[in-house]
Amino acid sequence: MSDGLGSYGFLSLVRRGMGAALTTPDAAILGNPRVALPVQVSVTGAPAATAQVSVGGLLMYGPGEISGLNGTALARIWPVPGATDVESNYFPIVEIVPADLPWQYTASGPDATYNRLRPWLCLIALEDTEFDLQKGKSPPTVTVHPDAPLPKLSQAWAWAHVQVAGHKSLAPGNAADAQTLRDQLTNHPENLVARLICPRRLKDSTHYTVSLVPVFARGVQAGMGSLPSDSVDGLAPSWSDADAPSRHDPLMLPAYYSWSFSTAKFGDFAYLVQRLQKLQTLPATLGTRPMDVSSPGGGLPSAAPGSGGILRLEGALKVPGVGTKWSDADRKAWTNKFVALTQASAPVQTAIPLYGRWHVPRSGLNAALDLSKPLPWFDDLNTDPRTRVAAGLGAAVVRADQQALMASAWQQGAGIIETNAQLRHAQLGREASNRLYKRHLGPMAPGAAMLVSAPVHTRIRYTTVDCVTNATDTRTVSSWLRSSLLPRGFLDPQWRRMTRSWGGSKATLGAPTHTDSKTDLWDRLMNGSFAAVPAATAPFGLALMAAAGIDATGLAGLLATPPKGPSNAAPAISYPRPGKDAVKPNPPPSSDNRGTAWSAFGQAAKDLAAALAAPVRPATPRCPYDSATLKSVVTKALDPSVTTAAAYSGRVQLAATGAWRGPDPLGPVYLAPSFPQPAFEPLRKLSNDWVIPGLDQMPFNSICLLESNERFIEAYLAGMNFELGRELLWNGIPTDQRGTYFRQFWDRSSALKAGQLPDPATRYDIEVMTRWTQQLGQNPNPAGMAAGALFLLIRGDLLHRYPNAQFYVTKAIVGADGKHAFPDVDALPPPQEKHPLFSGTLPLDIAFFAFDLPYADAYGDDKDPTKPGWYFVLQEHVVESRFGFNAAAPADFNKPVADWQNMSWGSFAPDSATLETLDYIDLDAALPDTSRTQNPGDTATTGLIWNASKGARASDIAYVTLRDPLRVAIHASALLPPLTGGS
Amino acid sequence: MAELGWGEPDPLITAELGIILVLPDPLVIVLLGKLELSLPEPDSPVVDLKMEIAGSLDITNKLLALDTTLRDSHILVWNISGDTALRLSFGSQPNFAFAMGRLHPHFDPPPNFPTLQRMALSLSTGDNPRLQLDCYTAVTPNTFQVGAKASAYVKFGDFSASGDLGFDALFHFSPFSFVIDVEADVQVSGPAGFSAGVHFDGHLSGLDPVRCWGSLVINFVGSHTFPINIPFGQPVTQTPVPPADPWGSLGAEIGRAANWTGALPGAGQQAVSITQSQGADKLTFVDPGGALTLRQKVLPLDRDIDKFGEADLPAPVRFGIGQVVAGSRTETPGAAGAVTGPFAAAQFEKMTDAEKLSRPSFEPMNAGVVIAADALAFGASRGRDYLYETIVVDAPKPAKKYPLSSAAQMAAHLNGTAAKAPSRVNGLGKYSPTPSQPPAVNLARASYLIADVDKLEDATHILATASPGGIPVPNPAEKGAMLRALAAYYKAAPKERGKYAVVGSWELS
Repeated sequence: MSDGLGSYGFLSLVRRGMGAALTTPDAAILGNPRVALPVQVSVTGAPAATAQVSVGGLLMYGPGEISGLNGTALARIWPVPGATDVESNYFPIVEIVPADLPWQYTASGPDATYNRLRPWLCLIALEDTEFDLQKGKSPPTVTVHPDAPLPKLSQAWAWAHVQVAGHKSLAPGNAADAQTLRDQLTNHPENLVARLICPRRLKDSTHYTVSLVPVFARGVQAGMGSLPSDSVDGLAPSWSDADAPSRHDPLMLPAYYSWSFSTAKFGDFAYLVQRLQKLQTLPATLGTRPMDVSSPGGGLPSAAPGSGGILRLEGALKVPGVGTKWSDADRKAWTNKFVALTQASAPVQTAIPLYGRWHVPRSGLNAALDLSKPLPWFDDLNTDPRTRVAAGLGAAVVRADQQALMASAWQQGAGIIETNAQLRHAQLGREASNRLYKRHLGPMAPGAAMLVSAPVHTRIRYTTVDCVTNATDTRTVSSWLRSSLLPRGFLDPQWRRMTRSWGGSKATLGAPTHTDSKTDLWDRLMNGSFAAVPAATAPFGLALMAAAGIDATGLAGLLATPPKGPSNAAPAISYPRPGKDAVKPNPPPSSDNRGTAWSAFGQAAKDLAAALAAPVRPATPRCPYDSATLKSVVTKALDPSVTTAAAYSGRVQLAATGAWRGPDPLGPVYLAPSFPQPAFEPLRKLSNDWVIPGLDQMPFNSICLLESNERFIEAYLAGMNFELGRELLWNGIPTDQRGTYFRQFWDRSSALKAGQLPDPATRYDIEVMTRWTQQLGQNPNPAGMAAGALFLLIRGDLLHRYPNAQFYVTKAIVGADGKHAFPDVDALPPPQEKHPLFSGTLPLDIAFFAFDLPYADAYGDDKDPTKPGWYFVLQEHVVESRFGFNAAAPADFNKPVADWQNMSWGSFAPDSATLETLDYIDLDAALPDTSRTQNPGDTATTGLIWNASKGARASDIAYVTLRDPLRVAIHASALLPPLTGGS
Repeated sequence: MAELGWGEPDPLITAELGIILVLPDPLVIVLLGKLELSLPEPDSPVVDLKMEIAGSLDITNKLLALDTTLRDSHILVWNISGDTALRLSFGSQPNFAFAMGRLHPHFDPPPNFPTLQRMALSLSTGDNPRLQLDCYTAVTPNTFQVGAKASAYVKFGDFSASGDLGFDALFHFSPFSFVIDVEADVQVSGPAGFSAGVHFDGHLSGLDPVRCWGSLVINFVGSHTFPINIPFGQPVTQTPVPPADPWGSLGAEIGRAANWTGALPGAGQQAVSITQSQGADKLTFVDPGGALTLRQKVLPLDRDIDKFGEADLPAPVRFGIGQVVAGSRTETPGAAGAVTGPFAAAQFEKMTDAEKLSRPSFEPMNAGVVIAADALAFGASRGRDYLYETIVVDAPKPAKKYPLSSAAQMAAHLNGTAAKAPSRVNGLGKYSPTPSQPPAVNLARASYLIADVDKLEDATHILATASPGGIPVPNPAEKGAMLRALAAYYKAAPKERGKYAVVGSWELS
């Protein structure tokens, strides 16, 4: 991948899940009918003695439990069933998704050395004389006649492999490679496919029936409807190798799937490409078909009396220059009647659908149509019977596919019902709360409102100025109130309960109830006119130094000098006594060391004074807050319109497209599912004639030029979108019916633009319908179909045999002879390629391709060397690889194989007569002689082995049998038909 | 339509049945039909029941639905009508509801449960007198609901009388509780605006405590209301529950083969038809292509439980799945391999009544593990570049092969074999959204966090600071889990109590 080149790898097998843990190597005998799965679980937290739990009785499904195969697993079958001219040098193959299915039920594991594991099913090819097929039971039974050849089942592992795109080498032991493969399996399943090869040599001009049959005997019994007995070993084969070449008894096998085809001498890809012819003249009736509008019913007159009651109907594709006409006079007369019918007060029994009416939005058609000016698309679409047919087809497609569409809509809108139910509950909650909020909280006095809302104060933020620090801060209301003048506990539940207006302790005390006294209390507390704890007054008898005019400094001065000698000196300290003389304390007792005692006393007294002077704890500065402001903050935060919506705002997550809602944040969510699947497919399935009328008249093996009919496409998609809106409504999916659910008409999923895949949003074929402003068919669209695009329709046997053949153009160069030539792959500048804008197939044998390339450029001019023109290149589809060997040339017989990639059938026999007797390939046969095979310089073939006994792997066999795909280039001038209508 | 009859010569029971099969994915079997039962004779039936049936069995999504409705039916001369509905989901979210008539008015119906007509028997043929009986009964995994109502009306000249008598009962099994509402009403009206009546409504609820309340209103010469409030003794103490043995139950369930299934990878579409082979009735099979999944319903794994059923545990326990050895594979699934299932949190955690109310009745919790979800085995590989042989018409064959660019290769794969596989372009899946398409609508779980009550800022990080080693932040951040985490934090740091609150994450924005 790193070199930018496409590549693929073959894996011997892929297994997922518990089966990947099977390591018992594939052998002849398992020793058991089924694979037991013993499980041991150690449980943490359990008592140690019993923490190991054994689970008994678990088994894995094996071949004996498989009674049939779901047809959806078969992704591709080659040759296509019913093909009549198949090249005989290839092997029939079946491709299977999921890629691990062929090994899923095998009761053993791959061996460590060669990673060989037999799949549980294989392919056998039988000629008409070699078998009987009993249909009518499921699965049908194939009875293989005695002596009919069968492959060796011991080599069944060799003929099954997985192809993975973009990864040439993945090593089984490598963790990074395993992760790569895991990622591909999970996220890019389209890049992986399992393949079963039927290794029978096909004869020319022979009819073959290929059947998918069980490899294991238990699978045969289960497939035949009988329960396999436990005596049959889980790995016993359906037939033994010894029985493969010749048996004496018929062998009955269930066929999970079978198909038939015949081989022919001619018919390879290149041959089929070269059969294509340019078409000189188109059949006159190609592109339109007559529609009888002479008697539309419902009381309407003939819509086109001027043209015999016939209007010509177009399809999604039209022939350039060929249009259909409806005379203005006819149109005007008929439209007036039609509009009147849609507007009648008592209309016909069923109302006539007006496609796109919700998208415009309009309730009806304009009564007076002015045909001199371009009609608005809505009136044009709904009054023209031809576009009504297209829209009706869209509606029919939606009705036909409504189950799958609704299944997808529910998948896309999973959870919308539950979401809307919750939103409705939230709306109810919001309205109910709003009522309470407006009736009660709104008229409440600020203080009362604050008390009521106290429990949620911790959940409301408020930005204001702190009166202490003067800083603006954002804190919760509860935090602000804690620093307010309100006393602690004022908002506590106990206090609120005691003082609540109704009941509580007031009722118990017989106090009059329902007064708002506490509201006043709030305000008085807040403005400081009332305090829960009044300023302290000195109790009786307490001496206060302050009252005596002594502070700590004064005290220190007083106590600095001790009194001298025992004396009754007047004490320095006195304290007042209300109404009496001041009391003088006694001096300290005198003693010899009174000075020391005094100073100790003095120190203690000073300390005490200092301690008393210091505040017990620093007083919290408290701020008043305006209760009306606080109330407005709280009520704003508690507004149910805000709170209810906020609770859901982040929870309802809508994708960028697909869902929307109105302005109400709790309003219901509406779903607008989108379906990027191309709407062309269901139209084609209705009938190829809707895509382009008269298609069956196109000659075989021819090419013609067409253009896409935007008017039809817009009308058709408008019909689909309109009808889907109705289906959504009918199915109870919340919708406004205005979505553009289908925007893709053509399949542009694999359209390379400048070598890369463009954004899907740029690939839509129509604009969102609510933005349509132009006439029908002229609204700009993201994909923007270029007017001069080259649109080719091819009918050929090639497309029958290779329905997915790829088509692109490569710019020619001027060759040495002055004429156009095909560029070499390594030419400089590199060859210029253009891939189709879109393409499609119309089974059985028609395909179309649109290129962004003008006709004249493609055609070129042989006389002008600057205009070499372009080559058309048809190539086999990337994923449709074929397996086999080169057809035997006389020189190939009895020769050792020289080159792995060019192995020929001639290597398998000494001469052509012996080759005719070869049926199934035996990897251990004497021929081919691969002892000297080498691909010098090709590291991809290092260690490649063909013989089973010498160590071949399934990936080796896949590599050797893969044939390089083919592409065929033809210059445009050799294929392009003349451009109709000039140029 | 197939018609079946029972009884000779004229069938007493006839059934017309149609079966619709939706294939291949989802696999749905739809049964439509009608059943007629006429007893004792079809010509003059005493019992004549006509029942219309619509049922669907969605095997892919594991849903069974069966609806019936009675139409034009009567017993003797009395009309009988009504609907029944059954919903059974046997997938990853097992649920069950069956209702005859309707559901209890206070019961929140399961999603998508239809609105049913009540089962009604009209015991009169005309309008006067009129006597009608209707009843309903419903069963869900945790409730039994029953109710009946009789209404009578009679008019005689200017006098008319009407009466109703009915009850609704709702029983929850675990934990056991009940609500019974009884209502009786008699009204008499006469000429000149005379009216009188008695209305009684009573409610009995239990079990902790049993309460009985109601009112009696007498309308005769004014309206007189008599409230009724009978305190019903003491709160009932729960009968002691036997000590629980969570490990005994859990161990047995883990060891039960039936709890192990093989889930197919990806969309899980079964590509083969499976038949059970002989002697395999008692064996449990898993698909080798899928992961091995254990899902048990006994208790939630990987979280502390302090209750089991109704019994408190002496100490919280926590169970988890360590190593699993399956066949030759040994795996420690860990958190990535957890499988969730619905559990009622109230059965495993001690909760206050307020917590019980604020938690949803079922929350997704770990129920098991998945093994080998990403197991992969593959064989040796050999690869090559895409090289095309080129043939140019009317010109010699170029010598070099043409290599395809990887972009062209990948683009081609988008409309190649596997991309256009029948399973992708046919059937119900043909318009399926791509796996990468996000869902159009998603209702995310409400998430909660811990905020400080001072600034109302996210403080969930405090959980990490709790000693020792911090408390893990719950994931998903449900309210209950957050409350428990905060309680644990307060226990570790008692001084912090009251500083934080669990708030919705939207409150901080």
